[in-house]
Amino acid sequence: MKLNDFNKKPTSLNRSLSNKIVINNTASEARYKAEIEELNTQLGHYRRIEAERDKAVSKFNSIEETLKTERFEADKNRELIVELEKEKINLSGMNEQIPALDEDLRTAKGLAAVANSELDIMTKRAVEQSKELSLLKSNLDSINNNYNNLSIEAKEAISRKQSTDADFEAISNKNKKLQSFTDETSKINNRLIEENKTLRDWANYKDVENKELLVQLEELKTIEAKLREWMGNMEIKDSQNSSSKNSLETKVSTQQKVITDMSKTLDDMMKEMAYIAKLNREYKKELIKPTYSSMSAIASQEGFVMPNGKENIRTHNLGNYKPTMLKFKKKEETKNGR
Amino acid sequence: MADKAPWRQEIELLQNYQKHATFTHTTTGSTVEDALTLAGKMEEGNKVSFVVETGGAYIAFDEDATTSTGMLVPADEGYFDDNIYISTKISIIRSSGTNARIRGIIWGR
Repeated sequence: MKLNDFNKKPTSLNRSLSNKIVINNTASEARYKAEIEELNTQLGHYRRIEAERDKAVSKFNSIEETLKTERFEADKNRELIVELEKEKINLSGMNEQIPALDEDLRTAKGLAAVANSELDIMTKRAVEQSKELSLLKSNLDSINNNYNNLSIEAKEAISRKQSTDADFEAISNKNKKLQSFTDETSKINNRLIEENKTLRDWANYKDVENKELLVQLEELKTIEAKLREWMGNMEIKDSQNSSSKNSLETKVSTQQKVITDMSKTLDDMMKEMAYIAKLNREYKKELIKPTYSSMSAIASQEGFVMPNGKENIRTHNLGNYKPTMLKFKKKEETKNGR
Repeated sequence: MADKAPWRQEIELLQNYQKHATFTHTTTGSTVEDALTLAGKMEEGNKVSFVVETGGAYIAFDEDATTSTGMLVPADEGYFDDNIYISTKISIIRSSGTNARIRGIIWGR
């Protein structure tokens, strides 16, 4: 490709965009989900215990009702016994006067004994029931304590769940911020990659152009060698075949025309090579231009004075940090600032 | 201090520093003064070298130097660093009762 064809180089480049980087914090999300499930199972367990407590309380209330009824009956029986004893006293007072009442008295005594035995049985039952009641009370107290403890634990679990939700939300927000930052970084990276590719393409294009020019130079050299060979052959033939000179003159003229054309082509190539050499010289000239002024050059050009010949004695710093602070050996300075 | 330095093309970073500025400044009091302002001289400073004489001073880049946050450079000592970014100024405040003089060169783009 010639240098003039450089402007015809296609400018559009087909490149595939790289995929964006996406970061998912799946480990933290899975951990928090597992914690939430565990808290839900604990909450169900506490609710079951609460239902058992309600059942026990209702049973306790029914037993208390039964106990009240039996206490009422016992009181009634005690009143009956008192009345019977009163009647017994009346009857014993009347015993002497009415012998016929002896039989009634015996009957009443029998009834009193039966009532007493019944009273003893009921008293025993009442004592047993009171024992059961105290046992149930202790059970109820322990269930109440358990319920209070479980309620506290449930509240703690709910607060932990809320804090876990807040943490999860904070982590999600952080993750979103990281995603947006990663997107922006990937965009900048893509832009830089594209620019780098453009520069590489330009460098490759220049390399190809140089290679083509070298090939053309080699071809020109080959043509020159061939032409020289042809000239030599023709001179030999001319000397050897002087008799056939006339007939060969036409051939010679033809060959000379060819040589002329070839020479013209060669001249064109040489001109082009000279142009390239000139261009190359210009590039080199631009490249060797001094663009970075040293301190001494600035001092000499601008009349600015910096102390020279001072030797820095701070050459070692801790770690791999490069020393920036300069401390000089005591040496006389002759010039001051401008 | 500047929030962030501008993105540079790779070819720009391969180039030498095209611009430079020299500066000499002597403090006149106990307050902070600008030893150099980059406006009109260069867009950013990337390499700096200076010496402080006649008295010690606190130096700061892109902000006002103070005796608590500035970089203390004792008298007749210097400072050199490169691959840095200075966008606005170099300020100086003397560290004692003696006025200090700063002399140096900054290179940049």
